[in-house]
Amino acid sequence: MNGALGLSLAILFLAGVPVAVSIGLASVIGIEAQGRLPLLLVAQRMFTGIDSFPLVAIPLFILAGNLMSAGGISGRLVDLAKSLVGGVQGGLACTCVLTCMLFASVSGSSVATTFAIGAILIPAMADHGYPRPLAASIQASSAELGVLIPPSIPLILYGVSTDTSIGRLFVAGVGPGVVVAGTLMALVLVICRRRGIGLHDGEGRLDPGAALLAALPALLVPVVILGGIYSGVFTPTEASAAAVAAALVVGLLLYRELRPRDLPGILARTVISTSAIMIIIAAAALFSFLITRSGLPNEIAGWFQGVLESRVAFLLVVNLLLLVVGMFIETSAAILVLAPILTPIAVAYGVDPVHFGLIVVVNLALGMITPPLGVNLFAACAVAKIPVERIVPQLVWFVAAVFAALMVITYIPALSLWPVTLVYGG
Amino acid sequence: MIRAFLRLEAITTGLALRAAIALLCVTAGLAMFQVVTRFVFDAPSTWSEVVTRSSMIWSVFLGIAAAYRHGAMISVDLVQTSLPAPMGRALFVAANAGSFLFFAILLWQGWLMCGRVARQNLAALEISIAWVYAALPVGAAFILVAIVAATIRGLTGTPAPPQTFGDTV
Repeated sequence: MNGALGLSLAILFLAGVPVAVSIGLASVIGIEAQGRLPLLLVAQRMFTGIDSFPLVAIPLFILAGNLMSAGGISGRLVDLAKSLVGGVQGGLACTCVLTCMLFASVSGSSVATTFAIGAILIPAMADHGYPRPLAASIQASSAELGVLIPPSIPLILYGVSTDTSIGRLFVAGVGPGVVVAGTLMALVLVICRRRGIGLHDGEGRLDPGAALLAALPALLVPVVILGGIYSGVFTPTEASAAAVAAALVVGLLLYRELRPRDLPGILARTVISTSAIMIIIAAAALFSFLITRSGLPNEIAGWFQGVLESRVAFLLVVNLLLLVVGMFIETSAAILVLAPILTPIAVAYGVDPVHFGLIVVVNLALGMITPPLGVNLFAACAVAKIPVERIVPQLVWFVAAVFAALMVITYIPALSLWPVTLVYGG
Repeated sequence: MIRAFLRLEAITTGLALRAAIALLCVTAGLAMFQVVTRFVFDAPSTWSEVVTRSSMIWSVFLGIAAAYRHGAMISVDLVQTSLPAPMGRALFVAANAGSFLFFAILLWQGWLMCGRVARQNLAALEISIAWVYAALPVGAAFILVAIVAATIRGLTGTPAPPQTFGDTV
């Protein structure tokens, strides 16, 4: 059955059948090839796959993010980031990284981050003499922070599919987020120095105090979300509801840039994005059920334990595997299918499931900026108005930098886990 | 005939999208309500979690038709776009036929599933869980119409409705 599943999945993906439908149809073919399972599983598993309260956080975080970007938050976060790091050569590129990090704390999606921040900073960078492909690469790779800094949709999916505490995953995401942001900032500074780009980035900056004051209401939302989750007051789903409420207050009452007549469009966008993701989650639940039932996870576990002796080697092989998977498979689907298989194996090698979740998400997020299926790449190129081919030569350095950060995150568990012990105790 | 069908699709998909939006508001509202009951009244409500989940499921399955209409279903169209035009078009039709087949199966099996679970009630409520499962066949019916329309628009080069990018993760 697994052969039929794998082969049909590959053919359907390449034919351009939507990811969710490819996974669903491959499962149907798998069920038929196996012969003894009822087709009723298709409806049953897809339903139960999304019938989960923690998953309700996904539409609500998407909604909160959309409300925030329409409510005047993006511009103020850009101003704040610029006032803090924009003064040096390449300061605008650093501003992009830092703004993405700030925006990531209200948004759980990296594509949403690309559209919200890229729409402001890609044209700004182009005006300051950055080549457009470089500006798009900077934006696409910084947006990876959207899924590392909590709230994070991929971390929610990892938590749900492996029964790991989403709150702990959210706390653990901060360290790796800072590592990736630091690596990217160092890289853009070097690139700008060597190519003589961004000499006048410091012009037109606000005073940090004024910028902070203007951005304060925008920063209120992450305080509500993260403070609520970290203090144990909110579950992630409750925090997502509170985030929607806070985004409405900030947009409608404090900044007053969100007009009631904008709401239908924002809601429509939210519904469409939510449906496009949740149907993948539903189909992946069906697929995952079939894979688990076929006993493949045990075979894989057996293979790993037979071939790889040490934890170091296991983590290296898993990282390479995920890297290849991430290039070709959509992130949510990859997490939902692979995390339940790989996490028990990782635990058997002595890896903490929370730490492993961060490895999986950082790694698969790298797949969002690698061709052929790099959603962030497409988003950044759409914003920069350049064809995807032109971004690829610039991108190599960014992919290498994030990979280096991934290795640091993989082999220094304390980066992820130390804040968790701090918040939750030993 | 084709024109009339496209107009019909605009209506059905618009209807599904509006219903999905209303249900998203219900989901968000109930989730907030639950926070309020837990913290302010210190009495978490028993039914709101179930209804929140159910309205999200309905919202998702109704929203997919609009995702097809706006080209927001996440797919790898690299091969389709790099082939010579006639072959690319053929592959486009084949891919949409695949989508049609899958949601036809979902309609059929979703319908059967509703019958199967008709006697089960939602936790803490006197309502049959079939009302929630019905999101699958009902949503699939809207989706099938949207897929056919998307195929026709793609083939005839009729200007597609304004492209909205799906924010994926």
